[in-house]
Amino acid sequence: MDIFFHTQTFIVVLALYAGTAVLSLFAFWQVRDGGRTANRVAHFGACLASLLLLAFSVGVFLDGEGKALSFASPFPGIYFAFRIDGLAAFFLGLIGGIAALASWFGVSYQKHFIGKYNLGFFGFFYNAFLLGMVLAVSANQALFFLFAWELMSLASYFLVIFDREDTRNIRAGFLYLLMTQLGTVFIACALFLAYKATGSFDFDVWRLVGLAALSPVWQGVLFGSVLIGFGTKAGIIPLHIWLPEAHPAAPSHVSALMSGVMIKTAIFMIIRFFFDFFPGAPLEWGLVILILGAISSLLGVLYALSEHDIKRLLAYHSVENIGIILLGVGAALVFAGYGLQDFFVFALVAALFHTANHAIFKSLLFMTSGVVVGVTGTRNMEAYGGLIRVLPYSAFFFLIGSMAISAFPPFNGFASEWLVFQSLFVGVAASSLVVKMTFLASIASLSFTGGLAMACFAKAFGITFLGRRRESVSVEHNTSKKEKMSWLVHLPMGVLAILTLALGIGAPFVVSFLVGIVASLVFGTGGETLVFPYLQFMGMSENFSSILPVHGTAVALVVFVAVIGASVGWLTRKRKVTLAPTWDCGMPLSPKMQITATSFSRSLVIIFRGILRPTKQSDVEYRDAETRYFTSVQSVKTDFFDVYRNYVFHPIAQAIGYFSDRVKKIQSGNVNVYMLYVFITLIVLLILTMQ
Amino acid sequence: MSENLLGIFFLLDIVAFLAAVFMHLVKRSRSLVRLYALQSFAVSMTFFLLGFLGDDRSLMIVASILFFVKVLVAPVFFGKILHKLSGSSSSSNYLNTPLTLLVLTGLVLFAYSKVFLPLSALYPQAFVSVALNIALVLISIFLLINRRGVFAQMVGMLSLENSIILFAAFFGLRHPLPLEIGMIFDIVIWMVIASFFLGMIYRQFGTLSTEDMKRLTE
Repeated sequence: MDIFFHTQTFIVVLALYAGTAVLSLFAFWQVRDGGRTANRVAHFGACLASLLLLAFSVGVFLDGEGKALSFASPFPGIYFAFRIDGLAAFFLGLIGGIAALASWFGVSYQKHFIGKYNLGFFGFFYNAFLLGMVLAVSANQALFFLFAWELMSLASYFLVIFDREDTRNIRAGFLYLLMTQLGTVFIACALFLAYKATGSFDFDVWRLVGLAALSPVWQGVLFGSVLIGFGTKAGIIPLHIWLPEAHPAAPSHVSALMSGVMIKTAIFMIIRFFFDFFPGAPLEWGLVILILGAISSLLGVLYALSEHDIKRLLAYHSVENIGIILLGVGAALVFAGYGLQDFFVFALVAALFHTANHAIFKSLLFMTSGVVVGVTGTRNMEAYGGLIRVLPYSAFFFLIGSMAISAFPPFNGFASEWLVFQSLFVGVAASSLVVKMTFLASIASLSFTGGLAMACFAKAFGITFLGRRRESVSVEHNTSKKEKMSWLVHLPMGVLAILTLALGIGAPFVVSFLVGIVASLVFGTGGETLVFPYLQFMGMSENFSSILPVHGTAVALVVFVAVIGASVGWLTRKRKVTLAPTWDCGMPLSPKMQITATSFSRSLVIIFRGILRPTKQSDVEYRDAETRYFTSVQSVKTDFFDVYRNYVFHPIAQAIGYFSDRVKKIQSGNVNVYMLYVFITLIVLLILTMQ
Repeated sequence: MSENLLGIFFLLDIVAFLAAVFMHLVKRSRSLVRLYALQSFAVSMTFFLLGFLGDDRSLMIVASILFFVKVLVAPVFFGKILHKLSGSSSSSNYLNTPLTLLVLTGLVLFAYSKVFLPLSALYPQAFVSVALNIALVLISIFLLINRRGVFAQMVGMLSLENSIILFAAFFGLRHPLPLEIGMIFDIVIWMVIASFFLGMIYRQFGTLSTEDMKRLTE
């Protein structure tokens, strides 16, 4: 066991990811089997490295001491510095756990690409993506972090466009690349501002020096840059537009990783910036994050509700859950601003707990949706129906995931959302009216979000798995064959399903553990030493016992479920189950009689039409054009007006285009003129440098 | 360095400077090559004198190679190219002669202005020479801007290179002998490649005028 405590283990993990990436390419070129071997090498290698990473992070916690190492680099200004403290170990564990399960799942899932695409390339970018995430979380030097961040972003871009025959995926990839690079510009801006404040790119120096050297205006710019830069990756509204495009385009286990852990690296860095590098952030920053969280969670779930593409629906739920996490982060910043350290720890614990929970249930949902898409050949939920008969195991796991994401007790989603609620209720007691109102609005938003998420997953599960098969649509694939239990497909789903339940029931222990991590980050030894005494803070969760009766609630829940179950069983003990055809007014029963995803969400869409802006385009063709009595074809196309593209990004693109047209005039095509530009620049620089 | 020696170096500087000024005024390409040879002669003589007086054999070797490459080989090489490109034996300036002279005067005044006064700290007894070297650099760059012909621009680039190494030599910026020889070898390669491209451009477009080439882009 001691072997996992060593930094060498971490080096081995990095080497394994890098080695597997290269080996996948070799396997594809050397073994002529259409990529079967490369697929196995890529996924089993990644699985092994991820399991080792998980073991390493557990080792760090057992040891109670962070790990740090540093290597020189041939590039000026960069050195490969790593620091794995409690927070980093938590995120590394999350990456390791989810990546191990996703990789295991990927072995079987990627089979349908064998002989179609170069799976060696896939393996290369898949492992590079995982390596990038691990480096981004463990980097302890700004420029090295930027390198890791770009590695993660670029590798994931190639995974998004992997299925390149579908032009929608190429477009989605381009949008993702564009947005991620936009985010990188702001991140770089934040890093250089931090350098301006501290005179160093070393994160340890940032921890020691702080932001005191920056004026309040520059501090505000830094806050904005961090929020936009990492918010773009996290998918905060209105920077989320890449997310519902890119996540569905990628293979499902990659979507699980992107939605489950990649976007969380942005949350990790937001926490690092505001709680670790530069603590003591103004209270107003917390309010801004709270508002953004409230907007993202509510709008995210509303957009999910209006979606009929199963993977886009899940992607929008990522926006929603990032919003919920940000509510915890924002509340923590506000409490820190008030000096309420206990509540600050509590709110941040809620955020971290939801981060882990979302990673688990979202991965589960993406995996099950991957199976559904694989069987039906479409992501359109309107084409599904009755799939529980052919996919009973996947249906069961989807149901578990749906209940968890809808915050059904006793699953993990309930536990963490409830903690976020509790921390928001504490904020209502604030003396300032603005703060009070912000917290109240956040509570209202979260309440709506919870209810709408439940409606959304009732739709997703009901339309997909219940009712009758809409055979007229799903003709591409053979859906008559019943799903068999497969270790490769169902084992990771099963583990994730158990985890959703375990983390829900075992919430008190998880909270204690997270309190230890957060408190050691805040009250611990800071950047000078690597010891993080999280164990001594674990008992702090007792301080919240008045507002967090987790143990009592868990017992009450178990009793409640047992009593209800026993009562229903006793009352219906004599009832016979009779299978009979559905009464259909004498008409032949057809799948078309079923409620569709559109009609299911229609009433809610109408209620929120001011936000969702639904559009409807009707088209009628008549048999007789003159009299117009008899309709030949009638079609209705419903859609939603894209507010963000039309009101945010399109005007920006137009402004950039206008400016570029003007700037283009200096591009005359004459080399003499270009030399003149160089000359003028040289003269100006000479004058400036000589003064 | 004694006053007399400074005087000699200043004289060589003036030769190089005047060669650069006259490069702006002449139209014929062959005259440009001759002026470049004269400027290179001044540069190689400066190096040779520095090496001779400082008893530095490596510098004398560098000076000899410079003389061989720039004063002897380059004019012959360029002469052959110009013979092949007989249709482009001359090129004009964008600015007319009075305006060109006005800009050159402005550049010299700028070089002698207080902007470069901090540089006098490096060589307090010879700020005039330092300023002249800066003026030489600026005038060489201006040659690249003002001439319409690609060949003239090529010579302007070589003149700029001459002015930079003269500037460096004046401040005693030295490199090991192999590196110095390597740098001269670089220039030879550059001349060969640039001449090759010159031929390609002429064959493709039938002109070496940058203005005509600009029309081709539209």
